Amino acid sequence: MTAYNVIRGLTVKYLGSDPSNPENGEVWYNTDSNTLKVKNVLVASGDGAWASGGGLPAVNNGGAGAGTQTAALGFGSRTGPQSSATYEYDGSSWTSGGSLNNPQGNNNGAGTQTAGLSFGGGPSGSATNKTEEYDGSSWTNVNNMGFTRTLAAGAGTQTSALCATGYSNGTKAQDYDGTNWTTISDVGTSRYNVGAAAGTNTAFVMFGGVSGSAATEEWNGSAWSNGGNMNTGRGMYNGGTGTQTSALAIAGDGPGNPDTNKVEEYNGSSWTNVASLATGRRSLFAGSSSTTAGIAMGGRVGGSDQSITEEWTVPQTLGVGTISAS
Amino acid sequence: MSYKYAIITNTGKDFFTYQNRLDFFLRGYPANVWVIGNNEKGALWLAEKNGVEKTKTEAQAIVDAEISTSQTQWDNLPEADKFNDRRPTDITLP
Repeated sequence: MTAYNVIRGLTVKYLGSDPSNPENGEVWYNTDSNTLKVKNVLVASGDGAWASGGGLPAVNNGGAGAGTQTAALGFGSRTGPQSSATYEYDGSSWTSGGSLNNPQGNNNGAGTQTAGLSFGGGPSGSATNKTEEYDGSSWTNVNNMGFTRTLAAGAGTQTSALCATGYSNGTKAQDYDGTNWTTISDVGTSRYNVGAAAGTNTAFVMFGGVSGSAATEEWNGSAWSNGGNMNTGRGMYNGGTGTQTSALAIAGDGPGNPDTNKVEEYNGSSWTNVASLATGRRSLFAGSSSTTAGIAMGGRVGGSDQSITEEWTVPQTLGVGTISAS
Repeated sequence: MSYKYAIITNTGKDFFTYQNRLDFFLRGYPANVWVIGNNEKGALWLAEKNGVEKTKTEAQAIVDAEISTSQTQWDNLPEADKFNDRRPTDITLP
């Protein structure tokens, strides 16, 4: 067993009252309340809302995203011809990064700003199997997927990603381990314009789809299962972020909900409506970060491609928490 | 809920803040048309942004014109290029 004083350099103190200025991560036992306590754990969450972020250098419809709200990556586009443009965000403004080797829109993204992954994509009914990895400055071609795919469900990290369904290979899915793509079980429902979120390729969720699908499917590394349906079915494009148990479905487009600004949050079993974007749109793309500090950029509203960025924030209050046995 | 209508260019970071979104209704539409909740904080934001205020009818006409242009452009696309997107839909402002 690892001793607490070895890994933290501190012992667990027995105190009659809470210390006045504990260190972050410090643990102590309060003998008055008979509780084990720790400093700087999440004790409250505020209301989530979307604020404007720095605008993309160019309008972008159908790109892919990765990274966090303060270190995001946007790449590819179907604005005009398929684009190789890559942009990096620092929390306030976008700058150009290294260009994709293969210009793509409708591609999928995964990973971080310094370890990104682009896969699939393609214009006007055609699709590609191309895969590229980003190192923070340039893209490198790596092993391609085993099938061509555009407008698919894709998410994960550079070393643990998954691509499922999409146009036009129906129910097929593959996972990526950082080197190779491997075929996994077929999904239950074939669709395209699907949103996705994943921490790894063994904890993946995909949702929505063209023609207003509300269906949600989860992959646990060995089997697909149905999750709770979205409240508003719609084509999601790359408007998914987070993980299998904490995901956001951002905007999208469907019958009766054109260019919607609706946002829903998934908890691993059901969807809840949360605060809406200021500007509803389709074909936007999101980072691959948490559901408390997200980012969504680009897209199309009416017939106009957009350069706008919006940032999702759920204020987190840290403080002293009690460690319980349950 | 009553609204104000205005033409304002989104200037990016801090154009609207987290707190703005809690304080008043705000939604953007094509052609830089914004619909703003008609309360004290919404009116203050509109003034700070130097928005050009419009009546609802004027704002709707601006959106309609933008959508109409986009619909014509879409109608003239080659069929193969229509795969990626649908025909722009008419928008009715609240």
